[in-house]
Amino acid sequence: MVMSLSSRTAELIGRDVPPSAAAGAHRMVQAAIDAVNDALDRGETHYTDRPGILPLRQKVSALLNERFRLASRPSDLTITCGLTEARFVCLQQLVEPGGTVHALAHPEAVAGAATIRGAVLSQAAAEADLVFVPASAGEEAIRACLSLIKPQCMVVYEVDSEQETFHPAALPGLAEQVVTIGDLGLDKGLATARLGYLAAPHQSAPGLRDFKQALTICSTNLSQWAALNAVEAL
Amino acid sequence: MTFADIKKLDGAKLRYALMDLAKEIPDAIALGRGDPDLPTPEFIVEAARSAAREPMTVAPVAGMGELREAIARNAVRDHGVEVTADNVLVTTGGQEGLFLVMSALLNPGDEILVPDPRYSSYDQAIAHTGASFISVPTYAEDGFDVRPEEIEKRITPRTKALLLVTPSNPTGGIVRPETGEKIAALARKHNFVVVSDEIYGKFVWEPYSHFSMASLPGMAERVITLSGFSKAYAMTGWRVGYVIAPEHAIRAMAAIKSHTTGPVATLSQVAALAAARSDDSCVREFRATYDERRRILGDGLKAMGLEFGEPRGGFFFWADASSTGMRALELSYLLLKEAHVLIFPGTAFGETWSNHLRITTLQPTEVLVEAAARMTSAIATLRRSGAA
Ligand SMILES: Cc1ncc(COP(=O)(O)O)c(C=O)c1O
Repeated sequence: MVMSLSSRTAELIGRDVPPSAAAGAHRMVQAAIDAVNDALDRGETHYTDRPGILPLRQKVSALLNERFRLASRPSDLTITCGLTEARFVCLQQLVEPGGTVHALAHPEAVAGAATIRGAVLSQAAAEADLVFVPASAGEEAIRACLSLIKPQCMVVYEVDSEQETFHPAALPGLAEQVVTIGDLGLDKGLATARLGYLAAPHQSAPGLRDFKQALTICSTNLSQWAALNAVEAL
Repeated sequence: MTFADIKKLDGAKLRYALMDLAKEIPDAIALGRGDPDLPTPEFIVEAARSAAREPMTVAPVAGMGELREAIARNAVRDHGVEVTADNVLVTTGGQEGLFLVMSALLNPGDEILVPDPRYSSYDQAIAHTGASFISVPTYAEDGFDVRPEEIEKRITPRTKALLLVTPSNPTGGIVRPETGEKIAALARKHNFVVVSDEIYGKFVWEPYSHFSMASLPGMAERVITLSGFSKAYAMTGWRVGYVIAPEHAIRAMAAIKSHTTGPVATLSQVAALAAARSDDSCVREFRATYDERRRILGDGLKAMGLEFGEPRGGFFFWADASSTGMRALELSYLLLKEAHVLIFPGTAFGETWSNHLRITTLQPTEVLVEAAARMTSAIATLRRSGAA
C-alpha cells in the first residue's frame, strides 16, 4: 500500500462502537418535526454558536439541575454530535497521552477514544486519571468505584435514559471533577439527529468546548432546534 | 474582553474572541467567519422537510450509501478522479474530516508541511497526533501559490504529508496545475501523502479554474481529498463534509469516526444527497453572486489604500494593511469598535502575518458597500489623527 497509516489506526480497525439505540426506523415526535420546519422557515442553516444554541443549553442544564440537584451552568455545557462525541471529547481533553483510564462498565464505549489519546485502560480504579462511570452500573457500584480513585481523578458520568437521581457530583469533594454526558432525545425519536451533551465543571468547560470546536465546529443546527422542541414538549 | 486580553490570542482562539465581541454590537457587519450568508437552496431544504415527516434510520458510520455514491460520481464528473463509493467517507463537516485524516496518517514525531499562512483550525488536529507542522512560506507575488522548491527544501525523513488548501483560506490563492504536477513529482520521489482540502473548489475565479490534486496521473493512491457541502451549497449548519481516499484509508478513518462522532445526522445527509444529485445550477448562481461581490468589495478595499492581489478563488481577501500604520490586530479591533465591521487579523492564520487582514465577501452587496464606507471613514480618521 502506497499510503501507510498511523500505528494507532491499526489498533482501531475492527473495534468500531455502534451508536446507541441505532437499530430500526425512528420517527421524530411531532414537536421535533415542527421545530425542523420552523427552523428552516427562519433560515437556521448556518453554523450555530460553538457550544450549541443557548436555549437548548439552558434547557438541558435546567433538567440536569432539577433531576440531580446540581448547579450546572448553561455556559459550561456543550451540545455534542451524539453521546459519541461527548465521550470522545472528554477522553481527549481530560487525560494526557500515557495517562490511565478505568471504565467501571462498558469499556468498549471508551477504549477506542483512549487509544486515539494514547491513554491506557486499566482494571484498577485506584490507578486511573479518568474513570468512566455509566449510570447503568448502579449507585452502589459507582460509590464503591469512586471511593478508590486518586484525589485529582476526573470522573465522566454517563447518564442513561433511566430516571436515576443519584449523581457522583454529590459525593464529598467530587463536584469539580465530574463531567456529565448523555444522549439527547432518543426517546423522542431523535436517534437520527445525533445529539448529546457534556456538562462540565467550570474549570474544565473551556478546554472541552475548544476541543469540540476543533473537531466539528458545532453540532447540527436543525438537530438542535428539533431537540429543544422535543425536550420542551416533555 | 478587553483589547489587552485579545492581544494575547492568536489562531482560532483569536477569531472566536472577536466573534464574541461582535455579538455585543447590534449593527456589526460580519466579514469574519467563512459562513455563507446565502440561504441553503430551496430544493435542498425541501428534501429535508419531506424526510423529517417520515421515520428515518441512523446511517452507517461511513455515511449513507446513496450519498457516498453520489459524491463519488461527482468526483468522476467534475474532476476526472476514478473513485467509487468505497473511496468516500461522509464526515461531520470538513472539519471532522481533517481531524480523521490527521489521526489516520500521522504518528508522533512525523512532520506535515503546511503552507503559511494557514487555516489554523488544522493546528489542533495535527498537534493531537503528536506530529508537528513545518511551515512553508508562500508569497504575494505568486498569488500565494506554493513554490515546489520551498517544499522540497523542507522535506526530511520524517515528512509524512503535505497539506494543501486550494483555494486557500485565508489567502484566496490556488494551487495551479503546473504547481500541482511538480508537487506530485516530489510526493512520488519522497514518498509523502498530499492532503488536499478543496472545500472552496467550486469558487475559482477566471481566468483560473479548479483542478483536483487526485486527478494527476498516479496520484489517486497518494492524495486524500477533503471537501464538503458547507461552502459549496451554503450548508454550514447541516454539518456534512467528506473525504475521498484510497479504500484502506477510508476504512481506517471510518473506524476512527465510530469513536469521534459516529454517523452524521440522517436529515443532513438526505439534504446533502439532494445537493449532490443536483445539476449544480444553484452553485453557478452562487458563483455569479460571489464574483460580483468580490469586485465590489475589491474596489472598496482599494479605495482604502489596502494592498492585495486579486483572490483567485474562495470567499476571502488577504490584504496588507501596512499603509494604515497600524498593526492588523489593533486595526481589526478598532474597526470592530469604531466602524462596527468584523474582520480577522492575519495573526489568526499565522504568527508572522501581523500586517494582514482577512476579509470575507459573505454579505449582500449593499451591506458590503456599507461596510467599505464605514471602514474607509475609520481609516481616514486614523490617518488624519497621525497614526498613519
Ligand atoms: C479550509 C477549510 N477547510 C475546512 C473547513 C471546515 O468547514 P466545514 O466543517 O463546515 O465543512 C473550513 C471552514 O471554514 C475551511 O475554511
